Amino acid sequence: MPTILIIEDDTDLRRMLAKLLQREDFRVLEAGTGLEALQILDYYIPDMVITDIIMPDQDGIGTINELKKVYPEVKIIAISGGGRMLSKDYLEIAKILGAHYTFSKPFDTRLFLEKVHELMNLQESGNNHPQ
Amino acid sequence: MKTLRILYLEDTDYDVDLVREYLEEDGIVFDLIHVKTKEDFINALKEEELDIILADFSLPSFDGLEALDITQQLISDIPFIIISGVMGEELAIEALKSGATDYVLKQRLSRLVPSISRALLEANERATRLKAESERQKYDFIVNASKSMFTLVDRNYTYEAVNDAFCKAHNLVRDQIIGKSLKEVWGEDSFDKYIKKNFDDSFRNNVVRYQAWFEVPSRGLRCFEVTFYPYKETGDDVTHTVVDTMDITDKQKAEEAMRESEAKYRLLFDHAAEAILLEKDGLITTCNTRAVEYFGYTKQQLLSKGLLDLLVKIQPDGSDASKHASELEAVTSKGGLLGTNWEFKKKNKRTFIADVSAASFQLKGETFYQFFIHDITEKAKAEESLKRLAEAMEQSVELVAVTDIKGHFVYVNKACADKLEYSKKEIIGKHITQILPPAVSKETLYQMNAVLADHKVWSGDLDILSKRKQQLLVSARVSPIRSKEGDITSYVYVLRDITEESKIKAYLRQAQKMETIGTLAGGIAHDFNNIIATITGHTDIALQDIKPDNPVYEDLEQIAKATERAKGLVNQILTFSRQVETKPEEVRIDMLITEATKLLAASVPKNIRIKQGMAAECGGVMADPSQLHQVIMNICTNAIYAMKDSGGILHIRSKSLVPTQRLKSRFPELEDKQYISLTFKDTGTGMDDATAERIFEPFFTTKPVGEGTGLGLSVVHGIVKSLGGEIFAESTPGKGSTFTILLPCLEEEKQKSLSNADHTDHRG
Repeated sequence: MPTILIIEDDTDLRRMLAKLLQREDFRVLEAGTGLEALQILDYYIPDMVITDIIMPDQDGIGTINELKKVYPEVKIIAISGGGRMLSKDYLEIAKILGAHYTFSKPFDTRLFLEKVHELMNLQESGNNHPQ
Repeated sequence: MKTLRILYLEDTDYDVDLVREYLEEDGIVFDLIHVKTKEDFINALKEEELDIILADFSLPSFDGLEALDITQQLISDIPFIIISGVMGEELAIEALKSGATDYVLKQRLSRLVPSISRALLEANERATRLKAESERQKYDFIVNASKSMFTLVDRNYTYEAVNDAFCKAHNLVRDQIIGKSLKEVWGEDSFDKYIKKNFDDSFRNNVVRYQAWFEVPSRGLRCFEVTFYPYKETGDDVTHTVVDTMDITDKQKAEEAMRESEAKYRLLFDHAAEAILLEKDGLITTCNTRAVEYFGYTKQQLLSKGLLDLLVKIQPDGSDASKHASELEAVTSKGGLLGTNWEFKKKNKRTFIADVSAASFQLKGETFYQFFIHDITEKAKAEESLKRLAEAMEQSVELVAVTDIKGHFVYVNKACADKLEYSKKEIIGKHITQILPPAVSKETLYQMNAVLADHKVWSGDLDILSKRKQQLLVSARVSPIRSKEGDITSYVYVLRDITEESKIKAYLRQAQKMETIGTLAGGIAHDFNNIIATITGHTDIALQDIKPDNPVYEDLEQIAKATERAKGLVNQILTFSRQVETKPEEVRIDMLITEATKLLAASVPKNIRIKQGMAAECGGVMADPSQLHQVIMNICTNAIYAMKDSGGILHIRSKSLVPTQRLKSRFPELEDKQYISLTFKDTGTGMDDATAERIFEPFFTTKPVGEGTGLGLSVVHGIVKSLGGEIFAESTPGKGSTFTILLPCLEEEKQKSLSNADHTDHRG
């Protein structure tokens, strides 16, 4: 069963995302902070990481950067809630660093799931993720 | 021997011959005039020079007593001897009583010559005595006529004689003095102390003279010159002293006055602030001490020079010193200022600037010139520095004004007059309150006056009014000016116009506020997005889990719809805080406006018209067209809303401009480049300053609750700012509002490509 790690500091939103993905038969791992995520990654390598860009201890940008270095095959979706800085800039950076898709909160759940499946299918079919 | 001239009245010639014989016998040389009648007698008395008269006592027509009477009437004091034949005792006595000198009987003519001799002697003695008496009287008169007091004192210190002047001066009659001793008259004390020694000195044959002030009863305190002359009555010994006491008070006073006046003029001369030179034939003959000080030469050295030697050859005005000197005659004839700002040189080669007055006068046929040289170097320097100071103040950009103690302007500098829009002439004399708006509180003035009265400096901000009633905000510093005595004589106002500055400050404050609100709103939006995303997600999950006929299906759909609205609102906030994703492209403003107005036209009430005036040169801007569309729609909607009751016209105009200095001072972020200016001018309700100040703040709205979110203009503001532009509103309540948007123009090349693309489009 494909595994997805959700890194999101907003608990409610994280729980919703978890429920949404579990309903699609994914195994979901949750991390409230970037640091927590890195601890999990020491033991378990997910198929996909969905990360919020702005988080308290280590921001999403750093997390993506780290992931791409250590596990370049892991699929990444970045979500940004906008706010303190222009979210679009962060999403831009995330894309450059290697995030496969980016979403701006609030986002369409249907579209979101579509993209998750799309990436997972690519993996299942054995193809490399798009550059 | 002198010839004796005899007149003989006798009718008998025989008797005459007889008398002749007797006389000749005695060897008397004589001239005898013999008359017989009264007529001849009188003629002889009148015409002849006679020594003696002889007369017969009884004549036929005449007699001796009558002859005596006639003689006494015509000639005084001439011996008259009666010669008679018979003469009784009684007649003889009567004749002698009547004044006859003697009588001789004819019978005893031998007595005649001795009688004549005695009569002549007596007459001679009498004449001598008379002459002496007359002389004495003259001297008496002279002595008594004199105003000097004379006394004659003998060696016993006793007054022997005094003149009238002395008596008068002491209010005494002569008898009260004559025979009295000095001691008796002046008292023992005075005599011993002051009087005696002078007399003693004089008695030793010395002339003593002294001057002294003393009081005399008739005239009071006077000054006298007293002289003691030793007097020798007989022989070589001094027997008396004559004291001459002369009142010299007036003379003394006149002399004193003269001396004083001389001393005064000498003092003036020596201590005058000016150097004074007296010149004759081009050489200084006299100079005062100031001249010595001025020039540094000794008096002696100065006396060998002339005025020309003391002048610097080339004078400050470029002229030759000798030229000035040649004007001397002309100037002094009128008497007055010879020249100003002449440069003199001192012995030590230093120079000084002076004014010179000159006068000339004649003395013993020679012409003297007098020069008054007044050093004005210090004055000139002080004037120069004062002039500089005044000039500096005049040129100062600070506003400087001086008022008298009551607050009337006595001076304003140019900057101040210009700022207040008055001419200097207009403002001088005006009261300070005439440039203060009525709204300046009495409390402010009271407080200012209290501080100033305390001799302290007041500073603070003041609203002032220009002549054209333009209100200005100035930062003021008011200081009292005190006289030497410490009294306040005037006040100096130094003002700085901070109207613009305070506007900029207000703008910056506003900008900062918007920035803060933006950051805050952005933060809230972030959290909101998480919440909305959560709600959306759960709602979607729930909707998937149930069938449309489920009773909660519709409720969930309503939640989904509301969440959409919330999403839109948050997006607006993010737009205001410039945190949304935009897709900038080259936009033609005019086309965008045309599009927007077309859209609006459908919903605009009939009583509102929209007019559009687009300047041809206005090109494009780089912007997200949908955002710009939102901006235009929002402002137009507001304008229409403001005119919804009254109706009116909305003018939309555009032009291109480069920001003026004034605009830039208000909006410091504007640059020196081309901007497109869009103005939206409505004729609606307008708004007051308080409202205008806050319209761009988020959640600020004047619309009734439920009609507006208060986000519209804040979003517009956010969009314009994100495009590097500015937006501001000007409004008059009741007249309408004008919104101006400045957006940076596309650079020229891009501009061209835009218009090319445009052309292509048209052709396509």
